[in-house]
Amino acid sequence: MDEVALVAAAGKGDVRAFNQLVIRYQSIAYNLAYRILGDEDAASDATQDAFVSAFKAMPRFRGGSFKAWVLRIVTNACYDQLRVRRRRPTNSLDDLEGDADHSPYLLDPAERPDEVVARRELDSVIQAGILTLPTEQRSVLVLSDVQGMDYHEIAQVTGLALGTVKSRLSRGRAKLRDYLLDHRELLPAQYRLRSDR
Amino acid sequence: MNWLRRNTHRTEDECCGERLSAYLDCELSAEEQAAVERHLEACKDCRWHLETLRQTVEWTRECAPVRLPRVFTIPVETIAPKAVRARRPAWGLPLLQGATALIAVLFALVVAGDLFLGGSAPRSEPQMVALQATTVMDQASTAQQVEVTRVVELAAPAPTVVAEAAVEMAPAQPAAAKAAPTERAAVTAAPAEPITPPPSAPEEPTMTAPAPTGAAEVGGVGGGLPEISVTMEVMAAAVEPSPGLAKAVATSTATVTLAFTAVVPSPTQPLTVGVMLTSSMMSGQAPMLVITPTATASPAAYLATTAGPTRALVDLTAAVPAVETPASAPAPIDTADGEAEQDATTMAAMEEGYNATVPTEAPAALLLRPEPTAIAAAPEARDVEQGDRSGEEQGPVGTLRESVASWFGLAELVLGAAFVLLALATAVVMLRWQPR
Repeated sequence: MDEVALVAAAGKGDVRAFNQLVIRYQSIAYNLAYRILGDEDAASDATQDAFVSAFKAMPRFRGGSFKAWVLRIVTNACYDQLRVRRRRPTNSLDDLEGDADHSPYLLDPAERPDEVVARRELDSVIQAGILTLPTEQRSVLVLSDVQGMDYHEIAQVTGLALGTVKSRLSRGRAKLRDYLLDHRELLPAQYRLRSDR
Repeated sequence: MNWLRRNTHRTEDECCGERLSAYLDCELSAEEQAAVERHLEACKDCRWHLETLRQTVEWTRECAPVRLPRVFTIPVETIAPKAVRARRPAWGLPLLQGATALIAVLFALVVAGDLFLGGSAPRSEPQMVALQATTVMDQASTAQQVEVTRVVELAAPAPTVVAEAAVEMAPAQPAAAKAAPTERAAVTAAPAEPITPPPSAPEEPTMTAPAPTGAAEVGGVGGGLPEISVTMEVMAAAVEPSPGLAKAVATSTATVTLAFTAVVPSPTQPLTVGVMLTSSMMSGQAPMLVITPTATASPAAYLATTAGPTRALVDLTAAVPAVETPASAPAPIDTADGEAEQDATTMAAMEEGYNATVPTEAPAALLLRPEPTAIAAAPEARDVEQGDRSGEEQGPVGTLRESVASWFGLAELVLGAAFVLLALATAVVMLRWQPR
C-alpha cells in the first residue's frame, strides 16, 4: 500500500495503517529527536508523543509531504522536551562519552576496531557540538546535515522561509565547525580540522 | 590563541556571508556561485572557511544513525478504547448512575407507601366472600336497615373485613319512609330483574353468640327518637383469584355473611337496618341480595330463647339484586353494593316491605341461608381496619383505596423492573469502560 493510501486510511482512524507509516518514519523521527535532545530517553518520549499526536491530528492532515508533517510534529515535541528539561544543565561532552560499550550509534562492524573507536569519538564530539547550538539552528542543522534534507524540505518541516533556513544553517555549521576546532585535541588525528589557514 | 587568529583573519561573514554554506549545498544561483568561486580564488581565509565547513558537514553527515530503543507503533488495543472513550460523552455514566439511584428511591418510596397504606398484602386465590351478620334485637321493630358503610381490604386470601353499620331507629313507619326518599326515586333505574318475594317458609332463626370478630354499637339519641348505630365486622373469605389486584369481586358462588350486633332500646320502635356492600367488593358483578328473615317470634321471644345475637347470612349467589322479604315481615336487612342503582333497588324493596308486610312486632332477626360453617371455613381471617359511618361516601372511598392499591402494585412492578434494568446497564457500562 502506498503512502497516500496509508495516510488516507490513517486519517480515518486506521491505527494499523498509521503504524505502517510509523515503521516507515520512526528511524528518521527518533534520530532527529536524539540529535536535537541528545538523550535517548527524552528522544524516545518525544518520538512516541509525536506519533500519538500525529495519529490524533491525522484527520486534520491536509495533504503534502507526510514526512515533513511528521518531522515537524517531532521537532515540536522536542521543543516541549527541551522546555521541560530547561532547568537541568545541558549535556556536556563528558556526559556523551559515557560508557563506550553502550554507544547509541550504529557503527559499521566491518570497520577496524580502532576506526570504530575513532568514529565513535567524533560522533560524540559532533553531537556535543550540536547541543551547543541554539535550538532553532540545531533543528535546521540536524535536518540538513544529519537527515540530509534540502532547503525546501527543511522549510516545510520548520515552517521557515528559505532565506531563514539558509541563514540558520550557515550559522549553525560555522558554530559546529568552531566547536570541533575548539575540541580538536579530543579527537583522533584524522578527525582534527586544519586550524592553520 | 584562537581569538588572536580570528582577529587577524576575516570571518566568512565579512567576505561571503552565508554564501559558503549554500555554496556547499549547491543552493546558489549560477551567478552567485560564479561570484563565490571568483572570490575564493583571491581570498585565503574564505578558502579555509569553505574547507573546514565542508569537512564539518561531511563528518556530520557521516554520523552513524542511532539505534531505535524500541518500536514506536501505537498499540491498537490502547488507542481504540481511547477513541471510544473520547466519543462517549463524559456525562453518560453519571447520568445512568443518577437515574438508577432515582428509580431506587422512587421504588423504595412506593413500597413504603404501599406498606403504610396496607394495600400490599398478597392477593392470592380467594374463592369466597363471607359476611356474617348477627343482630341482637332487644325490641320488636318494623324496619331495620343495617348499612355497612365501609368494607375494607379484601386483598388477603382470607381476610376479615371490618365493616361499619349504622342502625337508625325510627319511631314509626313514616320515619322509615322518610329515610329513603332518594332511593325510591332511583327505582326506575333499577335492574329489570324483579325483586323476588321472600320464601314463604323461612327457616328457624339462628341465634348464635356474636362472632368473635363482630362488634356492634347501638346508641340512642333523644327520648323518642333514639338513633342506633351498629358497628359491624364483616368476614370476607374470598376475593377474585387475581393476585396483585386490589379489587375484590364476589363470584357467583360467593356467600357473604355480615355479623353485627344491635340493641334496640324500645320494643315498639321500628329499627331500620341497612347493609351496603361497597362496590369494591362487588366490582364487576351485581350482587343478588336474598334476605330471608326466618324469625317470626317476638323480640321478647328472642331474648327469652336465645339471649344472644342473631345470625343472618346474606347470599350473593346471583348476579341480579333481589330482596326477599317474608310475608310475616320481620325486620329486613338489606345488603347492597355501593352502586346507586343497586342501593336504590334494595332500599325501595325494603321500604315496600316495611309498609306492606312488616309487623311492628316482628323480630329483627333474618336468616337467608344459615351457614354457621361459612365463617369457620374462612381460613386465616385477617382483621383489617374499620371505616367511619359516613355511609354513602364509603363506597367511593373504598373504591379509591383499592384503585390506589392497584396503582401501587403497578408502580412497584414498573419501578422494580426499571431499577433492575438500569442497575444492569450501569454495571455493564462501568465494567466496560472503566479506566485502564
